[in-house]
Amino acid sequence: MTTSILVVDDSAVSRSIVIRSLPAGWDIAITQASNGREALAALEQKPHAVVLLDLNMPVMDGYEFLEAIRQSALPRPVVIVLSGDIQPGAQARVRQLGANAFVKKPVRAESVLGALRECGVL
Amino acid sequence: MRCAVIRIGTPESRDALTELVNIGMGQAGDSLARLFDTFIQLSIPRLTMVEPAQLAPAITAMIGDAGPIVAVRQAFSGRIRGEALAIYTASGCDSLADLVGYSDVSSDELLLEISNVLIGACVGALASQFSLDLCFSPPSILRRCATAAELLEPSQLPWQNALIAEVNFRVVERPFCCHLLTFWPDESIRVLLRAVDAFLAQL
Repeated sequence: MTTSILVVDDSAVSRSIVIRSLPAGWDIAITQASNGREALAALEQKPHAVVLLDLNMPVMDGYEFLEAIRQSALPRPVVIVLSGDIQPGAQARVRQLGANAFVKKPVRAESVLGALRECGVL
Repeated sequence: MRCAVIRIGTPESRDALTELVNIGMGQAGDSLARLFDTFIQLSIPRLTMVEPAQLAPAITAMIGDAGPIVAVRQAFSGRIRGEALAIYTASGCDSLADLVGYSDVSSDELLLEISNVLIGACVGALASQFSLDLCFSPPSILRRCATAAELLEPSQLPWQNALIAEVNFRVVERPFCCHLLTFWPDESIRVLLRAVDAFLAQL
């Protein structure tokens, strides 16, 4: 079964790095968004199993996105935060807002794989 | 005053460089959060290319009219060289001892220590992603209670263009705020962009 993944980051290069870090041979359909608002619109259009979310973005940042999906009636995806903001307070805050895992940037394939396993997606 | 737009590499290399600055900023923010034991709000990094004459208006545009400022300068050198400028509001500096919980250290010592931590983490993280070794000079207080226009004398700046990478660190509900600007002169910009291109080619 194809797993739908939403990659949210304002940097196209960063989205590319994240996509390339996903396990080879995994049957996935990828949607990309460059901020939280675009990501919300994508989720309203169709449910996604996994959201790979940056925090520091213009328009709507990762925290606001997490808050928005928590307050919405949308089907709840697994959210893995991938961020350069690695301070303990950021990691605690996204967990409080419902994120399932946190991966530090620079993104490494083994870290993403570990987070996907931690969340039971793989 | 408007600054002339000077192109920085390709859109893709600019995007990659901004993302790498973002990672460096995150590591610096983590260091500061641990030092202050509080949450640090980070900005979205901005890259700007300026000529020396445009520097003062560019800095004013970045930091806004926040009243008197205190600036700490630290140079770095290696295969890339440049300078970092940590700019604080004078009012925010007054709360430093309270923030870190030290009562027996002068505010100048604290400023130098905080600047050293921020610049070392931010610039060091960026350089380490390209495996570039850097040496840092000791930080020094450049000006106290100055305006942005008084910070640097354009005629004494030894470069034609400089890439400014701007990141901001803010303590929530406290007056403390630091604008960290890093200046990369012409040759270092070329080295940096070559390293970014090599990084992109690996993707």
